[in-house]
Amino acid sequence: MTHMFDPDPIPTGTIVNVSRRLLLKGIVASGTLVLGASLRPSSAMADWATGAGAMPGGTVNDPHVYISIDPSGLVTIITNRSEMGTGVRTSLPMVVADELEADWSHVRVQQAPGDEKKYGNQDTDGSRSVRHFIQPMRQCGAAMRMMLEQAAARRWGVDPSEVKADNHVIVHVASGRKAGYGELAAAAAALPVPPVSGLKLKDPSQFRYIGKGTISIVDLHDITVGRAPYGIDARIPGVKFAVVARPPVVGGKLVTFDASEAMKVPGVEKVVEVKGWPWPSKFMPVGGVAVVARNTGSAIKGRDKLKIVWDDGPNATYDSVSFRKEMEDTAGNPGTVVRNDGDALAALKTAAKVISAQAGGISGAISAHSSSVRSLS
Amino acid sequence: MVTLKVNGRDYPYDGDPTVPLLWVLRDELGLTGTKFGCGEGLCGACTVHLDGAAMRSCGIQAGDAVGKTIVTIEGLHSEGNHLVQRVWREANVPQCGYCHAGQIMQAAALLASSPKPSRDEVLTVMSGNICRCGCYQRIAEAITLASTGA
Repeated sequence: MTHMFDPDPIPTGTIVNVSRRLLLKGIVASGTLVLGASLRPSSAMADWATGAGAMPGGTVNDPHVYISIDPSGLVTIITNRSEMGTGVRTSLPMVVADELEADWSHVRVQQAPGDEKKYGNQDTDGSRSVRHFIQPMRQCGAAMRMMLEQAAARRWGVDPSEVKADNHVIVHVASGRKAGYGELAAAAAALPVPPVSGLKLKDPSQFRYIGKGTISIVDLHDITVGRAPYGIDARIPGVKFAVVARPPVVGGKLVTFDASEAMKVPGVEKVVEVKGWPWPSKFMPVGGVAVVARNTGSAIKGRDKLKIVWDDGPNATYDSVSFRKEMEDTAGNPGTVVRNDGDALAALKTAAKVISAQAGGISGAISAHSSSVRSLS
Repeated sequence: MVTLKVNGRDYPYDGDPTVPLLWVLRDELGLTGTKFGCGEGLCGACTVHLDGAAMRSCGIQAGDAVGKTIVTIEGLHSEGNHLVQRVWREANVPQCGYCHAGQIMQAAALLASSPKPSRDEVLTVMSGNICRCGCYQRIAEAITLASTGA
């Protein structure tokens, strides 16, 4: 089976059937239905504005979603978001599958590469992937479901209103005739895609998966056997491993370094300066001195042997103890009342017992930050 | 050159034997199922079995593992169906999953030495394995499931 993505931009707010174009280009296996949707929620296609259109790049790089069905009935759904533990890699394809009336046991989820021109905004953050994409995903799934229904109706010479999709099968209600998604895929691919105005989304009472809590995350098995690939697990042929000694003070920069002792560590192969972004670096790398070695352990040992002179920069005098005190003092000031349901302040005055506590801390997480780089030089 | 016996296979390693076992498993042998979390023995993500005991592979020099039987998540069961792996799936334990190789290896070692652990024992033994997603209730639930079948 071939999975391909539309190589040409699709105008915003349209759904087009791309399989014939791709077939002509010879990159989609015959009989495979591929649906591409260009779904900008701020356009006429959306039933409500989700905010996705206002995301960086969102108004130019439209979200796309792709479904393919092979002749065996295997449905492949692309997910355009990255998994970070919320289950979004499962939930967005699940939404597509629900509207598609697909049997989840015959659905495969395929990760989109990073390409916002093709897939729309891929900034997986802010707990908003589902909020931003549920509507376009539903529309995409519903469009394909209706094409499969039309293909079956044509085959049987009946009106499309007489057939309905039911768990990976199209059924002619009156006669009981049935046809599977796989056998209808090629015919459905030859049909025009219904306009969004003509799409029939499911009533929530008809949802098969959404809100049911019955689907496990697609990576469940791989996680339990150590095969789920995380960023830090990426391996490139001939890969070397590097760790970077970074400025000990945020906003600081490198003055000079001596790598002679680091280079003596077994396994260390090279020490290089990594140029960082000027302060404030925000999401960009802060730079430092990278030790490249045959494995990460050797690189860490090498880093510990570096002799570095840093310029601590404008934050050199920053003191976390005094900053904490400043925060605590500020927290003691009267706040702005945003909402006061039931008059909590009055209740506190008459309460038999008042428990007072101050919460504070640093949000931290077990996260192994890494990046994989292919050097061409 | 040393030889490491991992998941029933002999692996030659010609690098620095004082490097933590974690990095030899991951970077030299390609066994990336074992995860790096902190490198300080504080989080448990890198837990493997050494002669059956759960150990933090970030705190063991590769050379010290020579002659021992090393088992990683990839080798816990030939088909990935160790009891702990099965209950983990049944109880939908993981979210992001990053720490779960370590969690599963820790739980498997616990059940091997104590097939019917008390809840206190489960919580005590598993307390060294940190989960960013906060899957702790389901971790305890799955281990109970494994030990009692209910």
